[in-house]
Amino acid sequence: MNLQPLYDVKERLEYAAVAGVSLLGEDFRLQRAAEGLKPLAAASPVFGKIDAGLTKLLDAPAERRPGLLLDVLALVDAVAYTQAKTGAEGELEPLPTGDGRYHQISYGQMTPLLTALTSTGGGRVEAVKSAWERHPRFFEDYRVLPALVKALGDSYGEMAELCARLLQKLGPSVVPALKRGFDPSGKKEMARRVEAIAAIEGKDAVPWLREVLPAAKKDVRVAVIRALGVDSGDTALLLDLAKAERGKNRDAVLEALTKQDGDEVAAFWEKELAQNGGAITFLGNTRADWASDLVARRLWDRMEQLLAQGGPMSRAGLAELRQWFSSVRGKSSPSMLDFWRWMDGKLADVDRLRGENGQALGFGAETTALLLDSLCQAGPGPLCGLCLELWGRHRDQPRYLPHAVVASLLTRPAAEVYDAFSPYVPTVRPLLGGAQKQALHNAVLTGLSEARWNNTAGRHEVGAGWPTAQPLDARWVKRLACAVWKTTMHDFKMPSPFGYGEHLEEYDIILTRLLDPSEPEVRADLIPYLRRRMAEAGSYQTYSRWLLALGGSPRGVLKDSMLKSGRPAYLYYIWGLLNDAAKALSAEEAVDLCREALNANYIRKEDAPLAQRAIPWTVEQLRAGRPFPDWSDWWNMR
Amino acid sequence: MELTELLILREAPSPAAAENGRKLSGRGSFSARRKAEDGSLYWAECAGSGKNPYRVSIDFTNQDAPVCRCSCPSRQFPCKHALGLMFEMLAEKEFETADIPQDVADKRARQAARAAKKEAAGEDGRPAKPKKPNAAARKKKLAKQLEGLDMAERMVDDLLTSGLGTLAGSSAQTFNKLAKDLGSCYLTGPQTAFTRIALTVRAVQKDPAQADAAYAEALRLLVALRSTIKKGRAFLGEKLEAGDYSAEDSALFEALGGVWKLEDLRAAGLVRERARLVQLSFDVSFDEAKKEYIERGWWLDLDAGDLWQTLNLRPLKALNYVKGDDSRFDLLEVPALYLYPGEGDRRVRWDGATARPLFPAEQAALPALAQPDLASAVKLAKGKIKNTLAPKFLAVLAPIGRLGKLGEEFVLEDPKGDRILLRDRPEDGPGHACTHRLGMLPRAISPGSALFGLMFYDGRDRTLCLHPYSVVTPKRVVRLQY
Repeated sequence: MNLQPLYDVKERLEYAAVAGVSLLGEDFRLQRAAEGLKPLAAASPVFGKIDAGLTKLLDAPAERRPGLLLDVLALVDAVAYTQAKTGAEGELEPLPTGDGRYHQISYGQMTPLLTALTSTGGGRVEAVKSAWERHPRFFEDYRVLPALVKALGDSYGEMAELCARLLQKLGPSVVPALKRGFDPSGKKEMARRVEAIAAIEGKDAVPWLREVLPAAKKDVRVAVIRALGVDSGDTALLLDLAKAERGKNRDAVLEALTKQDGDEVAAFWEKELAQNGGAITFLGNTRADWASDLVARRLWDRMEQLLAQGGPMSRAGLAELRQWFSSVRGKSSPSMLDFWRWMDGKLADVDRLRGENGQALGFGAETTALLLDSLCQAGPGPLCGLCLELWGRHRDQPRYLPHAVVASLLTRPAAEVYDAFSPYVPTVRPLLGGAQKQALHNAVLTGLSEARWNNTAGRHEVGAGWPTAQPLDARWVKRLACAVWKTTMHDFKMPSPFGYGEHLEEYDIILTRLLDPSEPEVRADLIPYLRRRMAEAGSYQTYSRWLLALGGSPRGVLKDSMLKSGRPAYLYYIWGLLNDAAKALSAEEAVDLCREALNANYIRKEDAPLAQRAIPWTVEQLRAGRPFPDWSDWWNMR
Repeated sequence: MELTELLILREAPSPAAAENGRKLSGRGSFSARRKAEDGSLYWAECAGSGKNPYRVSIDFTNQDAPVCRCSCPSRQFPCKHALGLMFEMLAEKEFETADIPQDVADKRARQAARAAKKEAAGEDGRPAKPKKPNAAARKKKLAKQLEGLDMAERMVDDLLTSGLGTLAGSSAQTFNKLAKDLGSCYLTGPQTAFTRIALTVRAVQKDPAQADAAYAEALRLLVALRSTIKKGRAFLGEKLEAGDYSAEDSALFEALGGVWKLEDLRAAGLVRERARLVQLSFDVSFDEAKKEYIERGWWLDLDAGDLWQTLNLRPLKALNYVKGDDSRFDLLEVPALYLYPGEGDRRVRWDGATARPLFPAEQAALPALAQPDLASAVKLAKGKIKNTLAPKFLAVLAPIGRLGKLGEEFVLEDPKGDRILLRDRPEDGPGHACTHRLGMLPRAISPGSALFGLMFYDGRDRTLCLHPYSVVTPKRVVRLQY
């Protein structure tokens, strides 16, 4: 049955309702539609009813029309519903299976996460982080995963970067989701997808990268080219791209080419550096021998020319030379070692180099510091041998002593390192040659400043996270605690690692960084030292936290240190300190610290009345076995 | 009862309250943690902003309905302190065993006495009866409602005489004012319908491209309103004449703005004993006209095979004080299931229920509760939606023969080869769009599964479609929403 007349009537009735039934008498289209329904009315009683309703409507006085119109419309609607089509013709295409997994996640759990991933506004990063900490599996759910991928394009960069990291942590299972709907001509979201895929799959991503490269544009193209660098099989392609690409894309090609190897690559860079000296910045990140040889050879030529000229260096020339030197970090090919030996022989000439105003550049010291930096980047290897060799040539000078300390920590037994270098840190004031000995002491401290205890990894590390050959000899702590000089090469105070506006001796920062707090011997030696220093220095926030971390307590020295600090305390900072102390110490000790803080009577004038109320109340709370109060509890006592 | 994060979230009045409780636990605000020897009571002190800590306890005497008590003044229930204590338990922090505090023991005794009294009343065979209505007041109310219906009819007539398109500016304000007057005639149903019409027409003014759909929706509402007025007048007139002022098994009662109480539903015989329910889907929407959140759960009755819906209404003004609902993944054993009048996917409520995991055999039996075929489901849906007072959709569980795509459209084919288009119901908005997730399911759908969704009429191409919400397989219910 052709139902079009019914739908025509419905449409005209709806139109009449929108336009107003007062105009119904003039609506010839409705009358025509009603005429069209007549054949159907003759065929079926239900249409007959509609037809009768329409006739009644059109004949009715104006005041009855609204009700009659709705009655007819109700009937028309009911017939339209019962006559609704179902079904669909054609060959069904099977549904694809998607990505991720299905987890039973409630509305209350999923909504905050989806809202954070898909909306805008503050607090979203925190919401995603805390969801990840509590339920990492939620992120692989098939309803959440697409939102996570989409969030790679979030306008808030920190959010997008967080999502990229989370996707990488989820691993290979998310790669299909990252590839689904990938648009090679897209924006930042697509570029981040490429980076995530490359980070997850490594070399396995290369066929896909090659596939998308031809259509990739802008940021995506940069990311694809950069990612191609992981595979040594891409050299030919990258060399071709180096000829064709421009701007950011070419920079990406150069970056990718630094990860390649072989004669062709070396020849390319030889030519590239000859034409474009600025490209040296790209070689800074590679440790390959070809790059190391190339940089050493070029730098050697430059230095020879420079020393031969002998004249003052222009500002631009000096900047370019520094750029070249910065690319030697971590490089240790035989040519590079020879270059450093040659530099050692020429240090006197290098030290004489002057700037365009005639001032001394101190370039010798600068390059020596660079060698130490390079050693810290390279870790155990040929540079260690070189540094020990250079130190051997100048054993009585501080110049290579830091290098020797670092090289020894990386390669030699801990006791041997201690025996070799601890004599440079005297514990009794020398009668003669004090300045020379203090310079050597400072040089050893510079070497030790490159070492630190990594609590997560449970080991001592040097430079860029290289483990020391053996755990640091525990005798160092006692030695450093008793050292005559508490100085380093820097003669200024450093900002506290905890902030609070405190500045303190770098020596103590180096010392505390070296410590493995789980060693009872270390704690026993250091706690009295830090308590003493706390009273001397007045940086009570920093020293208190060091003491608490070591299982010690600032009880008994807090008051003196506060007074020594020379700056009345903010009550909020005092609350923070006491709160931290209450977590680590017994209630009795925490109570004593509260009293000391109050007795010091060295809290800002504005905060003093509140301190007089809040601290005694806190003492009562602690005595009653209750937890240390929140800051809001103190603040509300104003 | 195993305490899980899900359970805490369910107990919480809102996700924010749960988060605040979690923070209290995380920052060590609880002290003096104690528990009863039999594990039926946990209590602790929680540091608050006052001088004295709050005393908070959770009583698990009834494992399915733990009782939270706290000395804080919060109107939220449970408060963040009680939720925090639950997180303390979840984190397996140490609770010392101690004697139950006297005040809690007293409260328990009073509670037990009340329960015994209630049980004794039940044993007498006299279930709680609805309160006897005040006949004079009811009569007055019915008369007022009839008066209101006359006013509503005049409003409909005026609106249609001048045309829906004129509902703007000052005429819209007058219209809204008149609609508010219906509230004082105890006709909150028609009042809401008028507000909805005004909102729909306002949407046209904001986005003229949506005019056709919006006017069609406004007309659907007007048709339903006209029907309510006509049937309501007859219904109320009969009641007034007969002097019968009690609630009745009729959808009209609610359409006019009546609110059902459980005892009224019981008195009307709208109750089923010992039902076993499994939730198939859960969603939340915001009703702009009533300014309230609607938390809707769709449930499958394992014994009768019926589909029910629960609606938890949370007015915006009382959001913090009305407990939120959440997805449920376990099976609920409901001693008394109260049914609202209506047909098809009726609204249900219950007073108390016991949760337990769904047994594999029960899960495997779920798809078999689907309609025998699409044709049966379509017949039921058409039967419901042509009723002017009924919502224009029907929840159905349809058997899956195949799921696939025809171009951009998703299609369900039943085992007999009949097909239906799968689409998102436009009226539900983008927050409910989930059909596309059928193409993202991590696994192929196993044979013998069923598809749960809402069957609706799509006026754009005059087709009956299904908005899918869950795939019910013999092993699990895979939700496309929540």
